[in-house]
Amino acid sequence: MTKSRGALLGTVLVLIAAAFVGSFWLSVHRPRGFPDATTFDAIWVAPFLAFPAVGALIMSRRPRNVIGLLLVGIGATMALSLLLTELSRDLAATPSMSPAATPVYLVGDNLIKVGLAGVAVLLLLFPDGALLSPRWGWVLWGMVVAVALAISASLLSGSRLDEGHLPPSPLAWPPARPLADAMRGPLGLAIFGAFLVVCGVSVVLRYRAGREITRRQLKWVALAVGVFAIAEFVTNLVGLAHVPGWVNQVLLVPPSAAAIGVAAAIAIAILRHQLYDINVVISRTLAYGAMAGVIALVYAVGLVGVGAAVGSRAGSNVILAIIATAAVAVIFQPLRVRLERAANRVVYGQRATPYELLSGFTRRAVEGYAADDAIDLLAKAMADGLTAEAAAVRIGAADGTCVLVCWPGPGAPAGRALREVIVKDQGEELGALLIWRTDPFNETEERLLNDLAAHAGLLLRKRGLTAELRHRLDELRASRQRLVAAQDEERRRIERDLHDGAQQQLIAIGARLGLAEGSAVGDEQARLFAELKAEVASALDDLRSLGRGLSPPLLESQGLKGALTALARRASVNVELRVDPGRFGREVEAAVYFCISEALQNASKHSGASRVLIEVEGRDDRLDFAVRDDGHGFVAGAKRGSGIQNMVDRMEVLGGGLQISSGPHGTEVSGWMPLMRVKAPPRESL
Amino acid sequence: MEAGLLLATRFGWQTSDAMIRVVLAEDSYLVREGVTRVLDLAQDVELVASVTDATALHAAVDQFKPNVVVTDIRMPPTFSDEGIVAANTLHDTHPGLGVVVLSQFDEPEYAIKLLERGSANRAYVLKDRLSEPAALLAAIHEVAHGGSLIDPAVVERLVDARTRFESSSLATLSKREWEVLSLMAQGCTNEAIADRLFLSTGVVEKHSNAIFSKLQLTEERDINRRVKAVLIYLAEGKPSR
Repeated sequence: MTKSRGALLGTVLVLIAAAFVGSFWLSVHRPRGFPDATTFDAIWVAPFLAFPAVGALIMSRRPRNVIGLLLVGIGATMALSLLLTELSRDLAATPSMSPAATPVYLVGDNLIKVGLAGVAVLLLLFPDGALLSPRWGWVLWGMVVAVALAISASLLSGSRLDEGHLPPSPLAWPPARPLADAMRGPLGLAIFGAFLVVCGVSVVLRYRAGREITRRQLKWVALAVGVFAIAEFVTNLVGLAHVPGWVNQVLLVPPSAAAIGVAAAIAIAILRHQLYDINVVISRTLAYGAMAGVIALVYAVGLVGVGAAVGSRAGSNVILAIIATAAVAVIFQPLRVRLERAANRVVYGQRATPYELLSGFTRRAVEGYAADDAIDLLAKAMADGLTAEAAAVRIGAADGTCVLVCWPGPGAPAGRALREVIVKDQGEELGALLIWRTDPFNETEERLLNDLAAHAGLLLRKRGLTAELRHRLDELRASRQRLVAAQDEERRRIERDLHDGAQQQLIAIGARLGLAEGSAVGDEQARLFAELKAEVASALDDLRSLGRGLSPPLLESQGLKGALTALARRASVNVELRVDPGRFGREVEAAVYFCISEALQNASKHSGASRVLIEVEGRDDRLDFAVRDDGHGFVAGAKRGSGIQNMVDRMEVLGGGLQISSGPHGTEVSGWMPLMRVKAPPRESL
Repeated sequence: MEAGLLLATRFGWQTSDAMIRVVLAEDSYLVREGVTRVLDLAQDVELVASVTDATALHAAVDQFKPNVVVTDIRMPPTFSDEGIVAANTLHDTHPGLGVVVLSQFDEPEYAIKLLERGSANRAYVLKDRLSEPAALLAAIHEVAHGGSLIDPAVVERLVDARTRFESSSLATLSKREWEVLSLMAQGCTNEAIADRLFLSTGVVEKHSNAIFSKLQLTEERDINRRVKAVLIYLAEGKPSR
């Protein structure tokens, strides 16, 4: 910062302070009979001064920071406004009532509007000085128009000013009066309120869309504003009761202190947010705030409640106070622990301080928490535990193929990391931990980082092994799937060969026998022809059922419903069908048909069932089926054929599953598989 | 096998009104030969074209304007159920054209699909029936004159399945009523049923009334709708739709 700018800032700050103090002085020393000295209390000078001071502080560190400039601007505007308003009242209080009083009041009064609009703009721009998106520029322009309207309204209105103490504006234009008065009253308030809400929405959206850093900055201010709101609320609540005047004065201290806190929070959010962990501050605030409340309650109950019950006697108050103090002393430690834990849960979710966070992370990692998740947790633990701007885990050596898992993401921040710790396991480089932070590490943090790197070695090793295993498993599943698909294709091919070859030949032979039969001579020949034809017919029947067993043509042309209807008709038990008429793709239909026909065969051959219910239901993303019989079930542990294993295989190949339950009153085979449902069959549906 | 038209037009100019002009669609050479020979036997049936797939079938129908199409079910290019798809398409494009589906499959599901748009001019005949030339010729005559015919073996399969287990309403039918019912499913008119069972038409009508009331089916006077209703009842064990 150059000297001249520093001098300028200092001067501005001094002038603002002088204006506040001056207006206070003016309001106090006004002759009786005029607006009295309660315009604002001395105690509020400090917080009013705090905001421009913070603005100046920010500007001294970051000369181009918009927020700093805005804060100084708002402070100056407000100070000037107050000074002019008070001045106008003093002018009005002169015996001859100076004609300058009204114009001076108008300028002062309108400056407040500009200042308040500045507060709304602050909400729109905090913390980085830029709008959330260019679209929010419209809000900015809307605000400019609204302020211009409000100023015009105060100039054009013919009403007396300052609650009737001052004559109306010299620019008064009677036709505009109703609208102008509305603008000065509820309408203007509503418009300002609406803008404030919109700007608040911008803050919420910014928090939700923001990265971790933005969130932390917003959290600082939100914490301070929250404390301020509570202090204000409590003060007003107590103020409702009839308390002595000095109590009222004292009660003004907490909210004004909290207001200074808001200014301080803005400064920290802009300048020092990386140094302090806001989450720790919030959790401590919650814990100690709650503790103060509980202790106050214990005291109140102890002194008032017990005192009333026992009957207040001289001297008993002291004893009660001692008892209450003792009670507080007894509950203090366990209460603190509980409340801290609760506050930590509120703020951090599960873990508490960075150390607990890290130790919790390593415990979970060692327990074998899902490996992919663990890497994310590691990055998060580093970022949170070391209050870093960002942290990342590099998987793989830097000179080979590597993957970067970042927190808060997405992607790693630009620029070099402050620290890169190579992660090794048994001498082999497995990856690295990277931290982006502006401040250097202290000794504890160094130790922490090294501990983490040691744990990360195991983690990365495990992750590598898991990935390899998963890859092999995928390969195995794929090859099993290929095998089943090839088997299905082969069955279809053989069925087609039978249909196109042997069956057609037999049909042709039958046709020729039929033709030749006409020229048969005598009973002997006629009987021979009849026999031959019957043999051809029986051979055709055999081939048909052989083909059906290989791959039922109906399944291909009419899907599960048609094929299962035909299957049920041929069964030796009574079968009831509830089958979804939809189509589900060739592999799925083949697998489900296979399983159902296998289950139906088991039910009719071995279970002694008289009835079987077959259900197939397709939903959006999965298909369920079940085959239930009323037979005697199979004995648990009895030797099962390869049939069930084949069914399980066929389901698992397509990512589905099979469940078999059996009891003395029947057996149920149920299965499911994931679907990519065929919306409409590719050809005309028959 | 080469697709398209296998020219087999003969004596086209001599066709009289009584002549039934037939287009055959069948991708197996052996079966094509068999059908051709069976058709040769009939004086009033003339094979005007033979094709080997459904696309060529539609072209041949437009070109030769046959009275009856005799078609296989499974043909190139997808070898699924092209014959039945073609029959249903022809129902819209060429109403009144007879279609005999020659099938290697005895599942009634195919026959029911064939009758989806009504049973008039439709016959479902197993290829096994080629050994009885009269059966195929009867089917051709039936569809040429607006009737319908379902292969007895297919109906038998349905009746078998239905009679194997106790089934609510079907169990109440008498043996004679079963005979009448299966002939109805085969596409026979009351007169034809009377002929086959050596009964009078009046008696057949009485049986028919009894059957429909026992099965709680609305009695279909229209013979074409009756075939389908009975067939679906037998296949699914309950009234359709």
